[in-house]
Amino acid sequence: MSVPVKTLALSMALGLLFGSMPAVGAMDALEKKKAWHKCLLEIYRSQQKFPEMLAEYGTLCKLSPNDAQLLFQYGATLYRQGRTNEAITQYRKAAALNPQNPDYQGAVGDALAAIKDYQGAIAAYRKAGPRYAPRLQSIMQYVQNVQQIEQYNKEVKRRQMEDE
Amino acid sequence: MAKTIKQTLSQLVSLLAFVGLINLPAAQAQPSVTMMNHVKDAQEAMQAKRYAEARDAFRLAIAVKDNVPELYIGLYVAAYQAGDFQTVAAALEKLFELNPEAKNQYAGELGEALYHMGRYDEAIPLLKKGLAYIDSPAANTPPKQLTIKDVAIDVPPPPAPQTHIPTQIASATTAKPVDIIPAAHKKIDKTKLEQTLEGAIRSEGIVIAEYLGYQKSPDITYFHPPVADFKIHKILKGPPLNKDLPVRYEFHDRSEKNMELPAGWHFSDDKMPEKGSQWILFMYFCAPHKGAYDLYQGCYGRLPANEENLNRVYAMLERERNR
Repeated sequence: MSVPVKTLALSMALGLLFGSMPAVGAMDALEKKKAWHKCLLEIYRSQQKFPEMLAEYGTLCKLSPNDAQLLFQYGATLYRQGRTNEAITQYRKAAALNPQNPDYQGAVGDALAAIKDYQGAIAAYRKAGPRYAPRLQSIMQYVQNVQQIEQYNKEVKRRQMEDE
Repeated sequence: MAKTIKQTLSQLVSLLAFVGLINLPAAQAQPSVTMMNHVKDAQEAMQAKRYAEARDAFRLAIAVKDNVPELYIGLYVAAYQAGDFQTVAAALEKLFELNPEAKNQYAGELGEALYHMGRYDEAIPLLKKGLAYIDSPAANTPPKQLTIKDVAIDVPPPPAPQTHIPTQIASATTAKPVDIIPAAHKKIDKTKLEQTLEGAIRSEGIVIAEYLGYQKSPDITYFHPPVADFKIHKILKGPPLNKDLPVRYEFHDRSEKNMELPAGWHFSDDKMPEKGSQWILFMYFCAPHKGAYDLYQGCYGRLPANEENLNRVYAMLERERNR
């Protein structure tokens, strides 16, 4: 008869000893989900499984909608996959959450330049600040050159019409 | 001096009363008290955020009593906080053996540990299982309390009433205990079930080592084995260890049938292997205990390193790595 009593006592004693211990098991379910999705994300990254990776990013961004760095990384992955417009959306979200980070604005500028939205890119580089000044100069120079070429072509055309 | 002894005895009685072992003969109760002391050390270390120390204390507790699921949960928690994911994985795998119901609850945790160990292919399904579990209604219901019924099986029965002696002085006079444990609880030798290569392969460390000799001691017995000196030639699994490996050279495999001293057994040099012989050693935890490493299930964790055994071990390791 005393065996169950001992079992109970030992259970209780272990319970008491474990009771005040900070347990990983007590970790918030949301934190666990984030940690495990990040593990899956890194595994898929190492295996270069991009669709799975993007799915994990999508899930993680839903779980942490205010994580600017995560949104930025999601954008960068989309950009590398050629999904530039979706990348711009994520970059803009990151930049809106953390306007002080020049890289987020700079990434918006790069992506806009890639889809030839030069005015948008110039605006983004301006917001990005001094670190992106060389790119701003470069793209402004490029835009100026394009405008000069267009002007030149127009002039050539006008003169051809006059000669005719 | 007498006062100190009296105080110590008083404390011991309180502790025994606390863990409910006051009715046991001291020689039998002592291991559980030792275990509780290790758990208490672990708890204190955890509270002070000395996680590596807590992990080691849990290992010591497990060395005393290796079939208490709660201890493996404690070991996993401490090892997780210490960033020792190899131990996390080993602790959770052992927990699943003892309590298969915990597989769903801790699948994600094991997956995370395997991820940190670079075992990605094994980690993916476990992480997914963990995520599925966390979203399931089962995760929101309080987990079923892990029982320690295995301890109950091992708890020795109390002495017969006529031989009742205060616990702290009964150690030398343990009368043959009355068998009150239900036969249904005793018929399965669980330790024997664990003695498979599949079980041994989950050890934290597996090495091929050469036997060099043993450390002479006047009190070597069947249950107090010598420390044998091995030299590691190859690490098949586990962390890098010092080449000089002291190992507790047990003479039995910890199954119940071998827990009795074989008739006429006396220690002599011929009980030890030939010097220079090669062995495969399975260490469940790569941490020495009292200056020597314990092998998986006593002598079961020591296999001659012949071609057949090596082939079997390599094949199991390959399978374990999911290659």
